[in-house]
Amino acid sequence: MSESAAPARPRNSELRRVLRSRLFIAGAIIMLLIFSSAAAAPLLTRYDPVTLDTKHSLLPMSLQHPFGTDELGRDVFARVLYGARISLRVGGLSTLFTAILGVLLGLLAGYYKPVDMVVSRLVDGLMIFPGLILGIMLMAALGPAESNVILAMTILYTPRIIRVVRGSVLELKSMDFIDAARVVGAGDLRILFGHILSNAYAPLIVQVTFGFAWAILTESGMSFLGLGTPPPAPSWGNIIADGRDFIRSAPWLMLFPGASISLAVIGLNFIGDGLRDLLDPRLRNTARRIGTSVG
Amino acid sequence: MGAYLVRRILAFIPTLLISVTLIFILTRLVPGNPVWALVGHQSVSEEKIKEVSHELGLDRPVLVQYLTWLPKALSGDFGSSIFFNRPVVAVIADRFPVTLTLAGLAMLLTLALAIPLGIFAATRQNSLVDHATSVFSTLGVSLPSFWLGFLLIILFAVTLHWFPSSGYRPLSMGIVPWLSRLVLPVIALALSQVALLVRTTRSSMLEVLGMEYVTAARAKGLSEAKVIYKHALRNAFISIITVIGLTFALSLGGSVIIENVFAIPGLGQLITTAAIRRDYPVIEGGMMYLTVISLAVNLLVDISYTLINPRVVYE
Repeated sequence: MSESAAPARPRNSELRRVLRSRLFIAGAIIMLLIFSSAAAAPLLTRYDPVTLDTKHSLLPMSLQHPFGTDELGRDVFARVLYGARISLRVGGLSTLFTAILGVLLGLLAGYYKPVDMVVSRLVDGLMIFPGLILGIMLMAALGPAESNVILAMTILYTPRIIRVVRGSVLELKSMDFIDAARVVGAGDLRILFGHILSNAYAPLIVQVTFGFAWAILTESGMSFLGLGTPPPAPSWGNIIADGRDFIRSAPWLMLFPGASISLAVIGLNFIGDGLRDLLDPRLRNTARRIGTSVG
Repeated sequence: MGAYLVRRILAFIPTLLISVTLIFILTRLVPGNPVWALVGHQSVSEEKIKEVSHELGLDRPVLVQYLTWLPKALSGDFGSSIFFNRPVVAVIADRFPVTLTLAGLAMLLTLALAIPLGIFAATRQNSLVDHATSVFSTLGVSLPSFWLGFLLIILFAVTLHWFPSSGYRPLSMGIVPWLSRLVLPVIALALSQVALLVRTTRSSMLEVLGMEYVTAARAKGLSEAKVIYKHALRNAFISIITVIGLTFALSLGGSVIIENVFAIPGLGQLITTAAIRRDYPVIEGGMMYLTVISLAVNLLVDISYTLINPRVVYE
């Protein structure tokens, strides 16, 4: 207690910075492992993730079936490996669309007052729905399809990116260097995409990384509820949903897909934390992990 | 202050209207006709579809539908559930207390654990406890809550038989049957929020402890406890309280999933099954209730800012 926080801070933050970038490296290694095992799935297992083999249903873990088999005799190890492809694809694509849409609308809303009136109201309206409620409703309306999951998650997360980008624009647009650019004749587009965006990318990239983690969690949650990626596609959430009826007799069915989700989300959160400190130490206390607790 | 409150409340009206309108638009975006869900998918005659559409008012122009729907929706009247054949309000009234109990208990557990832990970690920065807290909070926001729920069931219900694995009993059937079925779902729901709130408490506490007035309070010779609890905590609370409001909203949202894991007959389970059955009146009504509560919590957070920190200008 006698060691007060204030004087010790500078040295601590140096130390933390190094530790955090170690976090970044740890996160990058985790994600590299997951991506490469998803890519190399056919080399790592000789089983097909959707072929039924009812004679060998609900087998426990063994050398032949490292993660056991499910009630339809499908190899769970193969399903988790191929499932990584689906979960990463759905999560990655919705993150990509979220980033594009969020940057465009955020830039416009921050720069033009009339656009802001509309966009910010809509953002407030969308963000008031708690948790997955809006996603559930969208999926009920759109019907089960992988593209609809991506669309629903894009609608859910874009408001958060808009807020981050809009905030940066508002902060930057009154600064002297923007005035200077205007004086030398730069147009609005040049100022928005050249000058403002290049100075606002740090919080954006951090938020997008957390968005990827959020998307993986959310996809798994919606699939678990039966309103996500439609079966028999082995997304991680679907494998857990399949396993829930056998929680007493075959608990291993949900152990591995759940651990995979957790590992991917931890990896991405590490990367986000690391990036936050590497790119802009000022952000340390402002950009928080938001919404990752949804799934 | 009174005028400020009125203005704050008025400012929420457009947000509420937008949310309500979004609910309307989304349920009417449907490619499939809700009538199909009502009369059963196949072999329905054109006549029957027309008849039911007319009953539901679905054959009128969308704008007319909206204008008749809006005042009813705002007064809480969503018509009858297609599946239950009962007024939506009655169906929701059965489920709502269950969800509020679950979310409320999760919030209490979150506050009871996270705030002391966050303060403790901040006052012992870089200690073992601090590092353990930081690892815990990363793990806490990374585990899917439904998976955690199943892990808890496997360990504490299936293996150890400490708690029932699922279901719900109202408090009127006794405190033990009620509470024993809530322990695991509340833990599964609270974990990610504890993680979030520990992090916020710790960082806002550290920020405040680094300020000059805290140093001044120490220099004045106040005891460390008094510095922390009287001076620092009061200011740290301003950012903590936002997260408390967020925590309740997250608990409500998270309960949708947790109710499905533990077969708890709450609003979240109701909305999910309604979404799968395409029971639109129930989806609309359920979303409306959750949204209004969420708005109200936001409003309370705003108001409590001004109560805790008199420096906030009422503009």
